[in-house]
Amino acid sequence: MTHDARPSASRISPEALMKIRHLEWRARSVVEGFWAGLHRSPYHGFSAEFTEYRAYTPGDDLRHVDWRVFGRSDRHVIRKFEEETNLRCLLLVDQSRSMAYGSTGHTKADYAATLAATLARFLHQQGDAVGLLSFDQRVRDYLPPRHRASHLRQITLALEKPAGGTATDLVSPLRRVGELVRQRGRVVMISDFLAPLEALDRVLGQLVAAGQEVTLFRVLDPREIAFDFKTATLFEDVETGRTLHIDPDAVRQEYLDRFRAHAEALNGLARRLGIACHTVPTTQPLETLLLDVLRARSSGPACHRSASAIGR
Amino acid sequence: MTFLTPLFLLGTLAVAGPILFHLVRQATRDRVPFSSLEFLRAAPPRLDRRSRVEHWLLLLLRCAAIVLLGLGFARPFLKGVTDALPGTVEARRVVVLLDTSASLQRPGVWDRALERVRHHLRNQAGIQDLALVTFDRTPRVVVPFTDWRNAPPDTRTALVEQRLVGLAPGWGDTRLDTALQAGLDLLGESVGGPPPVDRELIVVSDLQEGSRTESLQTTEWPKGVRVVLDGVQSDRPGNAGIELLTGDDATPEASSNGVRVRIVNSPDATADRFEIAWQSGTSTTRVGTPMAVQVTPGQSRVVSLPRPTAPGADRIVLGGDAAGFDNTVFVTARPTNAVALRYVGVATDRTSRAPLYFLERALPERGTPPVVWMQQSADATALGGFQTFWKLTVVAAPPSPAVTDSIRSQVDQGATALVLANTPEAVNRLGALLGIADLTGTAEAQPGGSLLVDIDFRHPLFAPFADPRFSDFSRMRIWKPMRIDPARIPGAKVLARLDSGGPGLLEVPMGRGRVVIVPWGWSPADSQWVLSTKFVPFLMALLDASGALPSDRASTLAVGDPLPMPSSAEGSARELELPSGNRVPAPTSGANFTATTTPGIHRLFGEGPVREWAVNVAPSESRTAATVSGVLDALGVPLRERSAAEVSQTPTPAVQAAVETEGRQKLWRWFLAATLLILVVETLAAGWAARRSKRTREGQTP
Repeated sequence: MTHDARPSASRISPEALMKIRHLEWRARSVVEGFWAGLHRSPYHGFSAEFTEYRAYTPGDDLRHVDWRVFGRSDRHVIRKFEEETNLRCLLLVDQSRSMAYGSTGHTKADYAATLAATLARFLHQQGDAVGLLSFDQRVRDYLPPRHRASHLRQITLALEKPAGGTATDLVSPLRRVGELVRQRGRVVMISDFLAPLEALDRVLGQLVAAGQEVTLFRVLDPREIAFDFKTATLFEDVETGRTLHIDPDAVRQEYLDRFRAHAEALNGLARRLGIACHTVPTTQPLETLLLDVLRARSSGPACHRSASAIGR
Repeated sequence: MTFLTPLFLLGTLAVAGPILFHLVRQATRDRVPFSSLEFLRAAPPRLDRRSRVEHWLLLLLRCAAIVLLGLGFARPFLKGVTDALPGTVEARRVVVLLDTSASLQRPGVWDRALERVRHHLRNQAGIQDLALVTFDRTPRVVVPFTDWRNAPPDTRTALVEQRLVGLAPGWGDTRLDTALQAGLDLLGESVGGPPPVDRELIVVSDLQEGSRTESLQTTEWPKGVRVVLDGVQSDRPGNAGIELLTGDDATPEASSNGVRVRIVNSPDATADRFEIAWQSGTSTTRVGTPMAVQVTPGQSRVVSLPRPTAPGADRIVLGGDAAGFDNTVFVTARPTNAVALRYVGVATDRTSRAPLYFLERALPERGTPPVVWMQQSADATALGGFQTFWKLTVVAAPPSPAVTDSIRSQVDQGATALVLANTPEAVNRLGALLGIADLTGTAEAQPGGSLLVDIDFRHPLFAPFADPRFSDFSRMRIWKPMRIDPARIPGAKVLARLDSGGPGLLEVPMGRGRVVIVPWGWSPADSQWVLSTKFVPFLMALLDASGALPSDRASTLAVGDPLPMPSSAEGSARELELPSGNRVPAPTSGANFTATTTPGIHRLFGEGPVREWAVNVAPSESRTAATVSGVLDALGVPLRERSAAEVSQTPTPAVQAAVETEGRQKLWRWFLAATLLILVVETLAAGWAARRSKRTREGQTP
């Protein structure tokens, strides 16, 4: 979708990146490489912003009275500001067993964890509060958004847990997010979305309605996209263990059609709800992904709220 | 192509295995993990025949290996090629050792043994030389190599058959070591050329535990020689035997009251109740009351059977055992090997002053050898019961003329007389014995006594003292010696001198015998001689020199043991009665009678009392358990024992010929080599295929 845009920043290939053993260092190298590649950040940040004056009414805090205006015009006015909060971002990371598949030397789960850690670090460096919710068929770990150095480490530790579970349930973690997160913020969901999409529509709609800005990252293995198997063998579902005798030549076209239909359904859903949806092959460098995300944000799809974003 | 063991061809059906595996393997092989099968439907690969078998080359190689292996095990051979390859016949030399010991008399054993010999005769392909040797205690060549070679090939079997007809098991014990040695010597013989390399000793025997194998310990077995043990067994397992205990085995009490016998029951026996009874030679009825004996299989028991009061019983028979060859022991009436010697002295003097007192203690009746001193009065005027030939006579008192004549005549015939000439009268009577008139002696008493000096230690009488440890006679004093002039006695030899000057001991040859003159007395008052340590060895030497010692110490003899003939006077006619009742001339004195082929009482008739020997079956024959093969194996004999299956089945001549042909062609070797070659190729091909499929899989599996 968006990975055709190529930044000028130097990039580390995912193969090389995954060779770094510690997730924290992986994230750090991506983020630093990203900052080094940027000559100038387009999102320099906002300052506290004045919005309007209003007439003083008894009971207002005298600290907010604009005394200069009183000196010039002898009127008591109150300066009113845009409420200032840091961004609260919750990362939803799929750790189901289907994420443990990978044909390029690293799995989708590795890639997703690195992506999540990179985002977390990136946001943390900007002073935002980052939280994590990992899930398979149920919620595994929940770390509420906070801005603390130790918190980032806890997120990294939670991300390093191996994939598990026998199914992927996309709906219940989102519903849980709706229950847990009352303040508006950003929700970034990283998954392969290889699950039925029926109920997803309603839950995502509720989140968006609650004021959350939702971004979906769909992590996919190149083989899942192309299905370029050659010989007929026994295929085994890594999640359920179900096996099927399959002659790839016979089923390739049908698979591609169904896969594309599923992707289309997901994209259609995103468009309808006005949320961003990025399909990410595990071979795509993470810096370009960050850049794409930032660019997409600036030009971004129709969002429910445009005030908060990844960066300020 | 024909097959010796075509049943193994069924093994080639195992080719179904690789074919099946090649078909089935594909379906069950590797699994490819995939993230989700949600977008996939089952599409099994098409099952047309071409696509199912994956590695045609491997399949063919594996099938070929199995088929070739099956063909090889079926022992193929080409029928037509048999005659075209005469050079491949390996010459064999075979010695068949046929056991004819007493244990082969057990029911059914001998017939089986003959059948086994005939079986080996039928299987004579490749045999260049064959000899048939029977053995028990000694081996006997029945068919030598030369007879076998000289006979036309088609009559050889008949030749051996003909010699087998006259054979029967005897009574001897089994000396397997001697037989194997003899067979080995035969195998090494050169019969018109060097012996063939392939040599075989076939032992047809009951392989009993009692076989003697001791001397095989030092036997060197040349290369190419192998020993085939062909065991034959009895119809009825187990055997009990009876053995006579005498000599050291039997206590004096037992031997005086009865006869002690040992009853042995073999470990595989079924019976354990027996009875023993005396029986006489003339009838088969039992004498006296039988005694019941219980012997557990594998055990032995010693019992004492009282001698019957009725005369004539000369054997003990064991009842209750099926194998009768060792159920009888022959017993002589009394041990007759006591040595009887004559003592001529004063009849009334049996005090401790008389020499007889010391002689009876030095050589007692119950000693070894047992000696009976027959005392004859010196003044006897008639010989009475003393007309026997006495090998040794001790003259302790001046004998009467009648006794002197008796002594002289016996000395002339070879007897020995020892004369104590310690008084002038005794010297005078000695002169009468030697035929010298007026032989006189003078008493020469020396203060402190005389000593024996200048002793001739080379003489047999003093030879026991030749060793410097025993040659000291300086403590033995003689107080009242008589001085006899040796010059007056023709042929007299002085064996020792007295330090006073006179002769100490004289030997005078006379006729075929001799007279030993002791010119001093043997009572303690006359000399210290009888109390010295030299006395008994001197007497033994005297017995030995006089030939009075019996040469047959053993009182029980086994079949095959030689009978020692006692010495006898010249020209006496003696006859030996065999157990069969036949009488044969006995060998001369000193020779042995060796033809003890049957157990029983052997009696020697001649001068003097009848001598008896009991010859029995050797006790070792009673140990019939077939366990000697283990012993032979331990002794390093190159064994190739026939299996029970091999013994039971006798192949037909056609099968024999097939076996020979196959053995010569040995085509199975080629099949086996081809199999190995194919397996090597298969291994390489499988490795190559595995590498290739691994590469393919790596492209497919994450």
